[in-house]
Amino acid sequence: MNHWAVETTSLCKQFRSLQAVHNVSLKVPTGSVYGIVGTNGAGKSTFLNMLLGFIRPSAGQAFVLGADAGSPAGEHRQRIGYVTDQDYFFSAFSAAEMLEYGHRTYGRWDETRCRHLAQAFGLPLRQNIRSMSKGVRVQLAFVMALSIRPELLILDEPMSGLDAVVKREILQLIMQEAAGGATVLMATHHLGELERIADRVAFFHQGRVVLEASTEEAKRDVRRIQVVFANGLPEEIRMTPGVLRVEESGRMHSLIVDREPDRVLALCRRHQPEYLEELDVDFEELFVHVMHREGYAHEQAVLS
Amino acid sequence: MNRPFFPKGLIYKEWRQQRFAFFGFMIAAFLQPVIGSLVGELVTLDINSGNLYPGNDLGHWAHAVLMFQGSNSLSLFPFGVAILWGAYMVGVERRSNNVEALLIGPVRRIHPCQSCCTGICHPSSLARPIRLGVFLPLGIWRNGHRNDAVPAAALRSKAAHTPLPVGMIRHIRPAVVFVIDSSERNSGVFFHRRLRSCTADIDSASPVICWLAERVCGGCPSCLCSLTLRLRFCLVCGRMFVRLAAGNEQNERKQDDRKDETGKKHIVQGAAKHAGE
Repeated sequence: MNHWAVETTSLCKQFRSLQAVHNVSLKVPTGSVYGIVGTNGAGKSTFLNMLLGFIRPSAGQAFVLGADAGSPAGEHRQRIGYVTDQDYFFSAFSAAEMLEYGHRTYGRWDETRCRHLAQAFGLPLRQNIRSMSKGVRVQLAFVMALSIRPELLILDEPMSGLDAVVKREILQLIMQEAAGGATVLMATHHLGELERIADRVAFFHQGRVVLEASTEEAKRDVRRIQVVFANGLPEEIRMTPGVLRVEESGRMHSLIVDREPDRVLALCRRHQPEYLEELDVDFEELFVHVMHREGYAHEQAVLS
Repeated sequence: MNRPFFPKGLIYKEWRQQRFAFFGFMIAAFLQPVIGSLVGELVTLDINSGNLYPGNDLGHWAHAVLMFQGSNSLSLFPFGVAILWGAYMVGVERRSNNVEALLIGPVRRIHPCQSCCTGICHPSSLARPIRLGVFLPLGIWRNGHRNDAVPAAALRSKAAHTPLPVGMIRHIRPAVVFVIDSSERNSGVFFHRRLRSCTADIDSASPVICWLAERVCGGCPSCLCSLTLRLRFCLVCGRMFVRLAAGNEQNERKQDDRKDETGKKHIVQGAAKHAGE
């Protein structure tokens, strides 16, 4: 078995004047849950499309499950499950017909599992796919992807359009797949869910990977310090290099710190706080911080 | 990966998607004698006579249908219907998300020509997966795609009519090859050799659909044997193909003459009966 389920080397994709993906080198360990996060138009879907062989890279190489991603033979695609928020189904097909197509196409198709999942999700099998809601279509895509017992599950915005109950069920299914040895590669904007399940993440911005680390390593870069002072936050702390942002909630101040949190903590202690605590930041905070660092000023532009 | 001769999933998909269109086009093709007679009747109708509906029934047209014995379901009209059906199928395939649904599966893909496009096989791009190869030894490829396998000098010569599409087919590796030859330019031996070199290059699972003059191709166009069943199955190479054989011009002309003569006889007989009634 390969150590890497996905391996890309200097992968680039140029669409006329637009550099959609630039020099992306990633290694996704087999059996891991790997998150891809980025701003809109960052190149996440383009990257995944290159892995699936939908698009041929302008430069660089991509290997998926040990095979060239663009290989026309497609043998390795027997082992890849793919779910997207786009409804990639044949027109005028019912859910039952789509599953029958999968059954006849994939050699690894597990009919028992397919029936079980379809029943669990309560899929309307006789209904035409066009008349299904978006959430039901995503569920159908999940049933198809999981019925082939995939070695690699590629998910492109899989949670959009799903209600909270189904979302939780699907997250559990994804975690089960990962526990069973499958690799999950997931691009999403739902950072809370990703934080729960991902082992590693890559942050994309303008076609580049700006951060690639394990979830713990990524969070170690940025810290949140919650502090309460009797006379308010001293200006010295507010102006300390490394303090990115200060949020006020009643008497409590939350400092988002990205450099030398120990130094800021020591400074806070010197001013004798009533309360002091150092916390992890959540993924959303981390993402916003990284994007700001990369000069993504969308938020400010909208607010101003 | 060994591609199965009949990819079950794809056949199932085509059947479920195209079954109604298939029956529709088939009925349209079979209606040729009726449509032909109806059109023929309308064309020859004497509008100025004021007698558009003689006998106030359909007897007049029924006579025309009976007399129109020259037409059958293997003439040019059904061929046109088949072409239309093919175009319809390709059109359906191009619908939004249809190609993507195909591409995410483990189906074999055909790489587009890298020399004339950016090499993108995504449906949203200009270059889309080529699923159909057309072999037309009529010189229409002359100004078509550039192909490095064919020397530039050969393209300018008359002999280039055949090798260029051979190179093209080699290059695009189509899923289905249409071989169409309605010209009299190619000598049998020359054409056979070129065709063999062409079809030998194609994956053995690719069906070959032939439209050839009868005297040019007697049997299987792939191995050029003559051991073929009428139902398009080569006993030597085992390849399935469809052979829509057309007779040579002289035979066709004679047949047409015969049809005209019998048609005239029936018209005369029919008119005599009508007058008698």
